[in-house]
Amino acid sequence: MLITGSKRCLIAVCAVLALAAAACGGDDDSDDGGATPTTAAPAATETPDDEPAATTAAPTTAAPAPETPAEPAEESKPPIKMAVINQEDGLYAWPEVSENTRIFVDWINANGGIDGHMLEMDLCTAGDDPESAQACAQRFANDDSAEFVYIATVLNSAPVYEVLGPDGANKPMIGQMLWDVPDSLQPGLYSTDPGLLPLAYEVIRFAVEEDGASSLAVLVDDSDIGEATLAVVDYFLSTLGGATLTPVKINMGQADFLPAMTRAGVENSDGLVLLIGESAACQPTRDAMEALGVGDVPAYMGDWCVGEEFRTAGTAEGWRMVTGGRGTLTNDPQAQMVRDIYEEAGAEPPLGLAFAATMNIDFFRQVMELAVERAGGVPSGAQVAAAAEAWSGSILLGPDTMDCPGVGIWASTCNSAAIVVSLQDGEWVALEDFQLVDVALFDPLLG
Amino acid sequence: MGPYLQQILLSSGAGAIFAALAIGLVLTYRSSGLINFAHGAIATYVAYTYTSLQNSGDLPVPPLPNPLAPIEGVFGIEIVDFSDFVHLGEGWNKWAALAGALAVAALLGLAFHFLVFRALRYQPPLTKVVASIGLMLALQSAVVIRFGGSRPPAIEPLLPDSVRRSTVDVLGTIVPWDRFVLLAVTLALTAGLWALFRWTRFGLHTRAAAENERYATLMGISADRQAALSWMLAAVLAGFVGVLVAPTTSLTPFNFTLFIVPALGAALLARFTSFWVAALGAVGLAMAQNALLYAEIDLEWFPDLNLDSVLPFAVIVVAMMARGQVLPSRGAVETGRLPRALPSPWRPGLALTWVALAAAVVIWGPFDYRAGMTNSMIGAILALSLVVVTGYVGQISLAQLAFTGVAAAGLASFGTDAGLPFPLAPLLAALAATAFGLLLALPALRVRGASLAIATLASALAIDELLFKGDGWFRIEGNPNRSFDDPSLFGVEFGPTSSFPINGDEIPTPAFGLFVLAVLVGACAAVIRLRQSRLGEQMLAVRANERAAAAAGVNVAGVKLAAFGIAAFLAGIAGALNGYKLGSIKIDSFSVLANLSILAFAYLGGISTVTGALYAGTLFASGIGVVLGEELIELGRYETYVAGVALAVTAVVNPQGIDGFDRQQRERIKRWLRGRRDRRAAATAAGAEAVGSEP
Repeated sequence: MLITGSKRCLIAVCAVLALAAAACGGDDDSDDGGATPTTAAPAATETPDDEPAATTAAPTTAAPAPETPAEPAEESKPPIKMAVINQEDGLYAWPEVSENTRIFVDWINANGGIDGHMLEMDLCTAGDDPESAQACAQRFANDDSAEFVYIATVLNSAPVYEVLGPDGANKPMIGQMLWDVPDSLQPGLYSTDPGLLPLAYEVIRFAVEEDGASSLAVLVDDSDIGEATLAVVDYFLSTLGGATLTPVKINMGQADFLPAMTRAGVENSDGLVLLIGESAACQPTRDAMEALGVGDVPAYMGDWCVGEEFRTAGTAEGWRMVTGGRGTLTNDPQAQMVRDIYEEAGAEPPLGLAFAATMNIDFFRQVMELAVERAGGVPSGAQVAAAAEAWSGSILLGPDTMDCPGVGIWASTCNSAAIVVSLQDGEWVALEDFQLVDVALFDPLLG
Repeated sequence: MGPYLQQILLSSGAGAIFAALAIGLVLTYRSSGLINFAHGAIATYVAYTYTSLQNSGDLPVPPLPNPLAPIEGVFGIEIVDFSDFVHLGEGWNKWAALAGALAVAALLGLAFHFLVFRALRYQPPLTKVVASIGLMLALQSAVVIRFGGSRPPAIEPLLPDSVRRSTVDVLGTIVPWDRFVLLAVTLALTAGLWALFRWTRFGLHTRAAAENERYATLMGISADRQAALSWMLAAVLAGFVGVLVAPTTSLTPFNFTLFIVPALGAALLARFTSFWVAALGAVGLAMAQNALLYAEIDLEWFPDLNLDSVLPFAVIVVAMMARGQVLPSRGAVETGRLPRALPSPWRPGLALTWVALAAAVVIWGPFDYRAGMTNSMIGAILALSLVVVTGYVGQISLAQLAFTGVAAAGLASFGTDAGLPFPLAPLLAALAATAFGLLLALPALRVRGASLAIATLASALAIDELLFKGDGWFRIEGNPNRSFDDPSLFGVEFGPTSSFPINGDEIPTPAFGLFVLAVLVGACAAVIRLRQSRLGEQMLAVRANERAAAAAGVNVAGVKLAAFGIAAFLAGIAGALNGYKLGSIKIDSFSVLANLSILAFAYLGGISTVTGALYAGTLFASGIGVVLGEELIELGRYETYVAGVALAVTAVVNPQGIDGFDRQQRERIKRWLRGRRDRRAAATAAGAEAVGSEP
């Protein structure tokens, strides 16, 4: 069949337009990715008879979560614009976090919003390139109605700081960036993510002090984050009981962990420390350990192997994982409450990065409540920043005490506590309570 | 020697993975004459499909166009509900899931052949490379859209536990059985392919079609059918490898694509011809990589230079330098040419109009238009570098983005750290990029086309590992303080936040945009002048026929070096501007995968003309084209997916790119207007004649 040039062009244009059209309709999950601003419709206010599940499962412990639906009179209060940036396009992307954020914001609104002020979510979707992250930051920097910015996930955080940080638009940021050490030092950013250094420290401390390990094989990511981690590993080599550590770098996209594991000497070590912030590293680690016949050697890592898939598959059985929250724990009432919120919304419970994001949204909610209380209405950016600076308390899934901002130069690290969890007989249990890590220990690392 | 032997033996798993991918690349090349950059992405997609079927019985549906979306959008209703997954019962048994996943692989292979590569049979290598990059982007992004980025699925291994958990003692080294089994399976696949091509009618016909398509067709062999079957086979092979090795390696949206680089090295060693050489070369490469890594730990004097990552580059360069034009050409009926490199006529009025328009957008446009325009102008300078090296000389470079990284890191070192003033610091940074460009041009003296594309891709990887991760001026990794002072001259600052009398309260302010515009105008003028110069003519002569050019007295090596040098300088300028714009740099921005995208979008704009580079600039990340497009439709997480599909579609229906399409349409309109004028004149003349002839 001959297709003329003009027909070809027509077909091409139609195909591209149709594919583009797929983004605004058709797929189930397309409703959150695009249209902005996305107002998180308050289900309870629209259908008052629908009692939100969350209200029946209010947290029984520390977190002061909203407990009653909004009073009708409060609906008239002006909304609060919640500017959100999430990295959801490209190969390094977390589109599911947008959906998780929207569900939690819906829940907040269904429970009365922030003292009667509904949250209006305005989502800017970034790609995995720095330009789009910067473009989102510029959009909110120039938007006078966006007094603050909630960061769901952003890998390219430096261009965002340039624009929104104290040297730029000076708008407070709440949430999690993914460039660990610089993020922890960034003024104007408030996060419940303890960051790499406290987690890495607690991993090593637990192995040495609690489990009595004297020699540890360490696999560390060959990246910016890995470089910082190695510095921690080296620094604490001498301070934690003189344990010997054998670090080996692993490139992103390692075909097989086996040779690296033997280079680190896992066969002759008391434990394996996995400092690769990638969930994708969990399965190959288990595979290589079993292949080497060292499946019983204790393995220590961050929270990247706490997924439900790793529980059901038994991948993480027996491993010790350090995390900043208790979202994983099987019988924890707060964790169950959060799961219920998502299940009620027809979504899977947040795991991994999405779980950390959930903690940040609850943190954001509490900071906003304080800011609204102080301002007596919709707060300005400066008032949000002041509230964040003064906030102290606990959040859903987090430790009992948190203070913002972090200690000294660790401006962003509101939560410097860590908890060690383990998968035992198919259930996630805590091996100890939250341990407050003294972040001032890391000051010498910054030179 | 014990530990080294251990490392070598334990590398059998990684070697098997590289080998399995390498023989798939050879299979595709032998049947279609294509170096398939999407091969790893196919393995990824199929492995994810397997895990989905096996875990929950859900078959992922690729994001498809919804023809009713415009109506749904206008009326705010949902007429059709396209599911993301088709639920096919509860979690499948692993063998059933494997069969289902491989069926998906076969369909993908067929679809790729019939929808994309069949139409590209006679196109130049660049067009095919771009199409495969488009499909790679689309497939990987489909995985992210469907499965998310934070939760890798659990994978039930195909091999039984009895195999996976037993070890064997080889010369005192304990080696897991399953790695040997992986290797054995790969070698069995290699033997199977070799036998298929050696002794079966299918193989004979495929070889015949590859050797001389015209004669094969005369003998009743359908080259098209052979290629379709081979595509199906290659996709199934990729999928099987993906499922088989997923428990051993990490299953992420991009891992298998990263493995393609060493696999390409092995395939190149085999001249994309011999399955055995490719497989054994890949295994040898993996073993050498791990032995080198152990040497870095074991030997104090051994340099810590990430040599394992650089090894594929070394293998590729040595192979090419030693063997010259390594890829056998296929006896196609005809071969297409690169898009025409038409000279840009000097039209000062038109040029001034465009510059004034860009300046107006930069000064008075909304802030997002200003930012988009600035991004586009920097992107256009980068695309201009590809116009010189690829459009004018025909050398496919996949390392241009790495040169921007060299310049950005150099700018931070020379400017912020060493305190050199503007414009000395950015110029020095661009010259550093030029030096590396010239160095990496050396392989181009021996090869061209797809072979050179592989060499430059490996070069980008080497720059990444040696420069960006190594110590020195160009280190980026683990160096978060690489920042940039705003450019200023004679006390006037023109950075993204520098003050400006108009629109100075919104960032980016117009100051930086005008500065970039001035640089872009200079770069465009230089490239236009280059095209019209004697060197430009020599470049085109080299592109058309190197031997003929040499016979005509053209110094082919000199021309190629000049092209690479100029292109690297332009890329360096773009890198320095990008550094100023972003205010910081990260190593991820210069990844190997990002290099592939840059070439693809430059091609989409029009890789042979200055106008094409300007079009390409609008398409780059957060460029003005993207910003304007989002006024119509917000693509969000679908942006990369749509871009990937658009690349493949463009390669098929309009290999000349947007600029070529634009020229065609303008010429068509001109012809129509001319015809209309002629017809009217003829009618007038006929009327006058008729009047004159009336009695």
